[in-house]
Amino acid sequence: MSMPGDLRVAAPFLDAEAVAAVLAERQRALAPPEAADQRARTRVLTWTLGDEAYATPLADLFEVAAIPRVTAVPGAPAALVGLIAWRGAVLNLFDPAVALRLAAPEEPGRAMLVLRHAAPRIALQVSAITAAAAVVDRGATGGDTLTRFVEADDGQRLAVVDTALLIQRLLARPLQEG
Amino acid sequence: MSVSTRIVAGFGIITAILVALGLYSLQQVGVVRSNVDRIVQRDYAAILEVDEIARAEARMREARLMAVMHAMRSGRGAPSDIADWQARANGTAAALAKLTATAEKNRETAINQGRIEQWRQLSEGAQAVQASFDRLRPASARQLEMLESGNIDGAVEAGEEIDRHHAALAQSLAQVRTIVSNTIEVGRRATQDVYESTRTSILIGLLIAIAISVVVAFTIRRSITGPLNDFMSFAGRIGEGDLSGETRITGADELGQLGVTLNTMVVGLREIARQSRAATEDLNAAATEIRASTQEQAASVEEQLAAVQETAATVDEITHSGAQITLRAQEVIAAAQATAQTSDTGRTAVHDTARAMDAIREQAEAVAGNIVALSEKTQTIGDIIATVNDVSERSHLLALNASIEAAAAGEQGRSFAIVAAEMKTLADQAKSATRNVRSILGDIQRGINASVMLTEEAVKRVASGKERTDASQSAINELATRVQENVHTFQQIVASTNQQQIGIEQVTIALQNIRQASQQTAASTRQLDQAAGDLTQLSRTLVGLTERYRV
Repeated sequence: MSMPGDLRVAAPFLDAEAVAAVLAERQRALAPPEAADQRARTRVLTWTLGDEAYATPLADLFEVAAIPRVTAVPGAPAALVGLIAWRGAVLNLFDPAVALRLAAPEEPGRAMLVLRHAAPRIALQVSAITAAAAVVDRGATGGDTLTRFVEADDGQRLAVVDTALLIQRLLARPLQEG
Repeated sequence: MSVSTRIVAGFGIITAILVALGLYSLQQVGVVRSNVDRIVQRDYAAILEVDEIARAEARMREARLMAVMHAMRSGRGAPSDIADWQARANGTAAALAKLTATAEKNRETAINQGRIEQWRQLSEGAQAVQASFDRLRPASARQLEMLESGNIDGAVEAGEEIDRHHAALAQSLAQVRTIVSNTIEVGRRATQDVYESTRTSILIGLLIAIAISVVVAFTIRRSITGPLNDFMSFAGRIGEGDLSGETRITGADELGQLGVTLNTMVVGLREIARQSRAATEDLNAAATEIRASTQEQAASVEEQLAAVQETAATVDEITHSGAQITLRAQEVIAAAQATAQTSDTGRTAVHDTARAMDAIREQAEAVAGNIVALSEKTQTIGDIIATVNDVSERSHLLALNASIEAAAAGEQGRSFAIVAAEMKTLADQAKSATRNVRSILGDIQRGINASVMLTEEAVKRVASGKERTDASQSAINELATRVQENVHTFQQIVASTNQQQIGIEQVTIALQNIRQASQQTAASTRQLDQAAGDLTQLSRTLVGLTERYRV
């Protein structure tokens, strides 16, 4: 947010948006912590599915990567996109849009989130992976809702997906063990 | 009974009554006449007989006096005188007896009591006369005897007595005359009575005949005039137009037949009225249609006249424009010749322009070649940028994975988390730089594309210009040729226009003829319309007339 008296910083090969983001990050890093805010923070990874933005706690993730070649499985549930050979193992690639009751995005996602789930190995197809952020998360409410809203440090409201419940719903049918 | 029979019967009855009355009158008149004749005849006979008695007595007296005289002269009576006196006395006695017999006979057959009485009186008077004669005759006879015997003095002395008897006889005879007069008077009165009674009976008969005639006439009149009045009122209703009724049939006589005939006539009239009405209505409709069609015809004739007017005006315009065409054609011919000179100049200019176009095209093609090389270089830069972008993407993911590992490592991974954050920052910077480079490359590429397009367009324009120049040159050549041809053509146009003028004049004359014919047609149509109007009026009048008749 620009204010009167700000210096205009320019950098080669960086547009104004990128410059502002770098400066904002450095500002946060150098700023003393707010004494009043002693709430516990959770690190989440933000991602997008179509136009919708979600977040998943980093603790629930194993890895993020670009989606390699996908092998479709005949007779598979609608949420199962296919199987992926990843680092010598077979991953079940799911489309979380079905579980989140969203319309399928116009273009299929190019990135995937590999969840920390022993068996079966599960990966989620997302449109893009945005960044890692710290949010104040009071934890799961215990209800049957798949998402809960949290507030990030930059004031942005994120919808955090309940990974366990998501996995439970995605695994409603038998899958390939890998 | 038929009317004629009734009339004839009536007249017959009246005639019969009149005949009867006449016969009765004749009969009564005959009675009267016979009575009068009888009375007159008897009375006249009585008068004659009385006169005969008087004359006979007078002759007897005369004879006696003659005998006296002769005797006084001769001193004795002559037997002839006495015989004469005897004959005359017998005659007188016969007359007296006749009178008495007549009186008795008339008394028996008298017409009324008065006459009977009179004849009785006459009979008595005759008897009195007879009595006087009976006294006179012997006295006279004695006198004559005396005379015969020559006793003249005794005869003369007997004369006084004879005179007395003669006076009594005369007196009796006078009474008989009186009685005869009275008898005549009574007879006259009896005649009067008979006449009166006859007149009365004839009058009564006449009155009865008149009454019967009146009754008969009234009856016949009523039997005839009653139905006739009905027929007259019926005919009156028909005359007023009421054909809906019918008259009463009175019978089988002539009047009944007249009633039947009238009914038939009314039926016929009704039918005629209906047909007349239908025909009149048809006539009215037809007249109306004729009127409408004549009016349409009049309108169309008017339109035709207007069209002829317009055509005439158009022909005038054509004539006028034809003259102008000729004028313009001649102007064009002059201009064409000037154009021919100008086209030579244009050809030279075009040739120079073509050469310049070729030079421009060669330069544009050189520029295009340079731009294409530049575009290829840009493409190469884009590939490098894509590679850098891919590296930055992978760096971004690597940074995120590092954040994940740092989160999984917990406290031990804090420094690693800082390293991961810096790596993400570098990745973001690289990504941002590549985004900028890509955007600038995009601009360069768009500029190159635009330049390529402009250059191509310039080349196309040059080519097009060269084509246009060639086209212009060929066009100028063709134009010059065409102009020359047009000169010939316009000369032909001038000739054709002159011929067209002749044709237009003929058309104008024909239009005038058409106009006259149209005006005549319009006049005749107006007359026709007038006639149709009159016909319509007439048909309306007829409709009004036929409406009078109620069927």
